[in-house]
Amino acid sequence: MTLGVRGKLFGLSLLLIVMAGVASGLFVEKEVRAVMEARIEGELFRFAKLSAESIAAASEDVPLQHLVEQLAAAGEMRLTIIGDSGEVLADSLMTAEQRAQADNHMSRREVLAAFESGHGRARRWSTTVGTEMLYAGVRFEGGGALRVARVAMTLDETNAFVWRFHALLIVAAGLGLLVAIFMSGVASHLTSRTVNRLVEHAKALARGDVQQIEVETKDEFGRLAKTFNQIAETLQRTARKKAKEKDRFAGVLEGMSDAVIALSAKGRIKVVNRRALELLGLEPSCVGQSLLEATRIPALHQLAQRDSGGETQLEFELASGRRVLASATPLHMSAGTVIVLRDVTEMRHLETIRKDFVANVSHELRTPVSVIRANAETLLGGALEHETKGPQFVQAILRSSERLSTLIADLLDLSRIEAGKYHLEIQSVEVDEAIRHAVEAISSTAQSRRVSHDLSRSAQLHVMADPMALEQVLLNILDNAVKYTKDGGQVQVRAMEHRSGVRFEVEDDGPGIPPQHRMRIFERFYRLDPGRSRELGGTGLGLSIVKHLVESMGGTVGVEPASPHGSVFWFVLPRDPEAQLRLSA
Amino acid sequence: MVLPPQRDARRSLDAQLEELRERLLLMSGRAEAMITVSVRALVEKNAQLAQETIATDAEINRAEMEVDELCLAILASQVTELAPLRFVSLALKMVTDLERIGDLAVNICERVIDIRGAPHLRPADDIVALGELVRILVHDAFDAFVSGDVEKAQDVIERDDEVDEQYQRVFRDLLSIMQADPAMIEPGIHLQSAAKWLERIGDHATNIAEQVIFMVEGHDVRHLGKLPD
Repeated sequence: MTLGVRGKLFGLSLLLIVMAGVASGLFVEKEVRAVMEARIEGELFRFAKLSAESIAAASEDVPLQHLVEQLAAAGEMRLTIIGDSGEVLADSLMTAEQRAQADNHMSRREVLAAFESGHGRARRWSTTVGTEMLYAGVRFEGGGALRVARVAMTLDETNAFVWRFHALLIVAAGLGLLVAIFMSGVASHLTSRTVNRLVEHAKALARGDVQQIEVETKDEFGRLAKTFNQIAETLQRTARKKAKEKDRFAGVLEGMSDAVIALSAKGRIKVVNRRALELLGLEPSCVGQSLLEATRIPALHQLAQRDSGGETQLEFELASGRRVLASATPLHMSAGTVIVLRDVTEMRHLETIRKDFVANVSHELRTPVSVIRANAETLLGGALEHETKGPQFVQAILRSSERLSTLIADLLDLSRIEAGKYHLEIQSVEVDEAIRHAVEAISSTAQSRRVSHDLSRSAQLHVMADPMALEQVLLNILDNAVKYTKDGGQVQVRAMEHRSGVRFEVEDDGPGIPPQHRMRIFERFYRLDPGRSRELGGTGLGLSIVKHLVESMGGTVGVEPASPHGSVFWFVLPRDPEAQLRLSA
Repeated sequence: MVLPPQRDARRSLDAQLEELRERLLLMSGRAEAMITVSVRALVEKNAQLAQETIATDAEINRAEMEVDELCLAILASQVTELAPLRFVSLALKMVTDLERIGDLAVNICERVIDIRGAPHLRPADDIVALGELVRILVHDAFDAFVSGDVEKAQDVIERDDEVDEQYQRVFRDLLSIMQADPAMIEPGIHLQSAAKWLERIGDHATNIAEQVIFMVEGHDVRHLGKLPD
């Protein structure tokens, strides 16, 4: 059973009233009885003494019984005269027969005490009268013998008084009860209003509605309200701190270059950063989905499912072509997993370039060196004397050493261009003339392939370039195109305006370059088909030099597939803005 | 497959449906990867990559059988509710579409050997784009499946036209190349077949999207209280 504040207050005041009533009732009754009995006792003794004196003084003629009856009637008391052997000599309430039959009164305490010390008193249930009586005995000399005059009085009066007192007490208690009900009502109303206010405030706090409460009093409720305010303040501080922490966490997470996905224990996505959304092509609504639902990447699913204690890693390629290194770290407290994806596409690409470069450069250098060595050994072995074979071996040595020196010259050029030490004299160059020059130069080596130019869209165009470098770029590209085109193939050079520059295009109808090679073809020593291209000569650095020269002249370079097959190598160089003005002037 | 005991039937039904869903999603991921890789193998003329891709088809085929068995196990456990039954019937159809996508990717891979010596034809680049278009279509169809998004499924069905257009473009370009140079007829025909298969994969994506709409709208009907819960 639960009692409200009102019920408890009422119960408490009721208990207080009852306890006070009972305690005071008992105490007062005892006091009143004592006082009244003392007074009655005094009266009894006085009357006993008076009776004793009257009887002692009375003449012998008057019958004792008569005298006793008269005295008792006057004093409104019971009077008994007892002889020294305990016999009842006279009693105001007893007849002669009763007196004769009455038991020895020496056994009565008040009588015995009176015979011994002159006074005696007792309080006892009287069998004769059938009520509680107070007795007092006084010894006196009468008729030559010691006697005791005993008076008795009922306590009815005292009892009645006490009962009246009790009735008064009950009435007072009733009144007190009414007052208690009223007072407890008022008190509990006041209290519960304050408490309810505090409860409402606490509820608001629980909802997160943080606000200060007015402190009205300095009592416990006031202190409670103050405490609530402190709690509200602490809550606000904690909330602010949390918000700051969350903000910081979000900042770190969003600023990361790695993709982060946090999974719950049930494998649901809890947190995902922007990089993860980009890398995996996810929508922010993926939060709450399982990893499989959101990404459907078997490798990633496998990684998240792997149930090992520590961190596990897996590298795989995404549909977008990006290579990612994914690692899963289990969270101990929430039993979830954090998956971090690092985009290693560039890193792996650079690794491959470096590895290929080392392998290729050593191959390119070793081949001519071993040819020179083998031929030299053969010559020393006796071929030197041979009329026809001898010069052939020397020829081979010469060819290989030329190849080596070209290779070294190219490598040196390349490193100079890269280091920015290659001296370029940027000036206005007429596009048509540069193209014509290059085509003429290549035509002698083109054999059956037809190298043509289409200058219909490049009339009067000028670019800002180093003329030697531009010619080298065109020759390198043309040389490649001619080499990879079959007999009877076509190579066409053209140029056109392209935004603020001029776009040069060299199109061939060769076998074309599949997409996976297009990005890498400008790398040093990169070859599409190593066997075939070495057989065609060349150092494997031609396109690399093209790329670096074009870029150091502020241009861009690339390759596209041609239709129906073949390739279009293109580069764009900045146009000479003043050429037009000079022409019109 | 061992049938689950009858006790805990409800819980195990939920677990089975969840497993079914997971397996379908995994299969879709594998199918998507197969589309991309088969096209790459074809365009790059990478026979090794083609071989590896053909080998992964075995996984899809195994997954198909497992999904079929799982579906049968669920049906055999006397399911009387409509929603799981609809889902199972849907899974049975979707798994066939996915398996066909795997087979078509294998077909594309098998052409790699045939075009090894041929020059790189310009439309091959368009085939890469077509492959990506089709892969995204499959991806989006499963996105719609995951989120029960009818609009997205509808979008997939509509975007199949883009696939058809791209296929037509590849077809026309190849045709003119073949007409101009008879030496290009053989590689041209192989590329044309690959493009056709990609276009078919697009049709399977459309099928899946249609099934998603059926699944979701079935749900809506159920929510209206027209069918027993």
